[in-house]
Amino acid sequence: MFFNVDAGYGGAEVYGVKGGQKDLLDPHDILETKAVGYDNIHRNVLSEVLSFYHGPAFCRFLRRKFPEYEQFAVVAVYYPNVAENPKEKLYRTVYVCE
Amino acid sequence: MTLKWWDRIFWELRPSIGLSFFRIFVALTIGLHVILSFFYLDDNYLSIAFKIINLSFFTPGVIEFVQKSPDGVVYFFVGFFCVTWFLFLIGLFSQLSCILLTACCYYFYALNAFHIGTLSWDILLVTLFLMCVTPYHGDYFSVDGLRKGGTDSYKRQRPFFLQRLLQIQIAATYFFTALHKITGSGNWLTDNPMYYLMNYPPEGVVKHFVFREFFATRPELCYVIGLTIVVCEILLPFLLFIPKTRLAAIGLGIFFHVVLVSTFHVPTIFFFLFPPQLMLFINPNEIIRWIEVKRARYQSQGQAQIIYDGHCHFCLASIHILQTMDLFGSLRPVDYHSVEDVKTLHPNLTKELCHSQLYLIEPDGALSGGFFIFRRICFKVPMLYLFVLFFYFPGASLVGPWVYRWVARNRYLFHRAKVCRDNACFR
Repeated sequence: MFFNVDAGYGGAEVYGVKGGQKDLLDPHDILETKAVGYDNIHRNVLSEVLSFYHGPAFCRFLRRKFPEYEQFAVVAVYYPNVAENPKEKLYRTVYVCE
Repeated sequence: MTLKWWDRIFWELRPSIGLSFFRIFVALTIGLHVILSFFYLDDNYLSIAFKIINLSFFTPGVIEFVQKSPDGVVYFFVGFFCVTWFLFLIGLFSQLSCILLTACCYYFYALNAFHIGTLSWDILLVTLFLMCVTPYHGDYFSVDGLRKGGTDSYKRQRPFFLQRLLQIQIAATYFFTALHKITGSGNWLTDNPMYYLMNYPPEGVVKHFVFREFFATRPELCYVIGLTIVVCEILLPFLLFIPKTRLAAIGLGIFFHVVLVSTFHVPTIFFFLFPPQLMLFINPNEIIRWIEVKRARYQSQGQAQIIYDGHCHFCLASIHILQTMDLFGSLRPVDYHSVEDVKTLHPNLTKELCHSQLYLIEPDGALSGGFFIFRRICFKVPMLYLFVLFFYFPGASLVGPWVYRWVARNRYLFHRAKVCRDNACFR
């Protein structure tokens, strides 16, 4: 419950790749389960998939949900300092679903 | 001396009405948390789902066993969950349904912790586990309560320990949340978490509320707010247990949760469970005193009279149920057989009319009969409040009387009273 909140913020983004074109997938389309009174995507639930250990299972899940894409890239997003430099956003591809 | 203190805190007999009311909120919170995840079974629980297991909550053996579930077993548990949840909500076999519901919750948690497995879910499971210990929560606002009956069932006395444990649970949650924020890895004293939260990117946990940008540019104010939150969380448990500060503490706690839910994306439990759990600090004897005052007021200012057929056991049973539901004593049942001339009750009434259906005479003399009495009394009887939606649903005034007439005509079928063998109930 927000025991430790520092200036950094991290999350996950998932891209679908088709014909060399990369599309950012709406996390609400990836995790469609809704909650009452809040948006679980804003609870950063998607960041769980950043663990390399979950990669194979999550790739299977993505291929089933988005068969129109050839590949997927799971990307870690990091804001080093939300207060002083909110626009600075770093990206690192954690794994690619071939 | 120690034993007396212990007895007073945990074993003193007090009315269980607060606990019964709380059961409804526990059921609603569980339902809102889990049932929504059933709409996407293939995403969440079936063999093709993306699953995350919680090995810090379950032993590997349990996880391994549950993960072997074929899809048929998952479907079975979905159905079983829905049934036990509904039984728990309406308070039918309250303790058994609570135990089975808890087992289902653990099953789905072990199957996939991805969506439901938050820290607040763990807190909710503790609450649910405590509720399994006794059937006290089924004493009132429940079908169990109606089955047992009794006009004073709302003040049934029970050992207070369960309500006390639930009080301790929420008090400890506040206290240790605050403690965790200011010790160990917590940084609420050494840094400015509220300031960072206000500056989180749009995809973050903070909602877009009116003053967010104002706070986002004022780090000193954010720090003070952060400290105030921590101080409130530390003090709240003590203020809740001190009788003189209790009401203010409950108000403060509810205000805290309303602000939290309006400004942050926090799980359902913060709105649906914690505020009702704070209400458990209200002494049930005070609640009963408040109810008694309302009952006395109805008795002095006039109750509505329900005219029924005392020779019909189905009608008698229905009247007993209605009396049990009638928390504020707003209704006075009158067997029309006990009245020499029913016109003394209301000039429009006849014995034939009274025999055909129930009638309601309100203190101002307004007369209604059959289905339409439920439309009137659903505003007076707390256990019928939810049925307002049902009784006033578009078309209910057409379907309702038809259903009522059918039940009234066939009421002799609904019980085995000797009197009905002579067709005394039949119109």
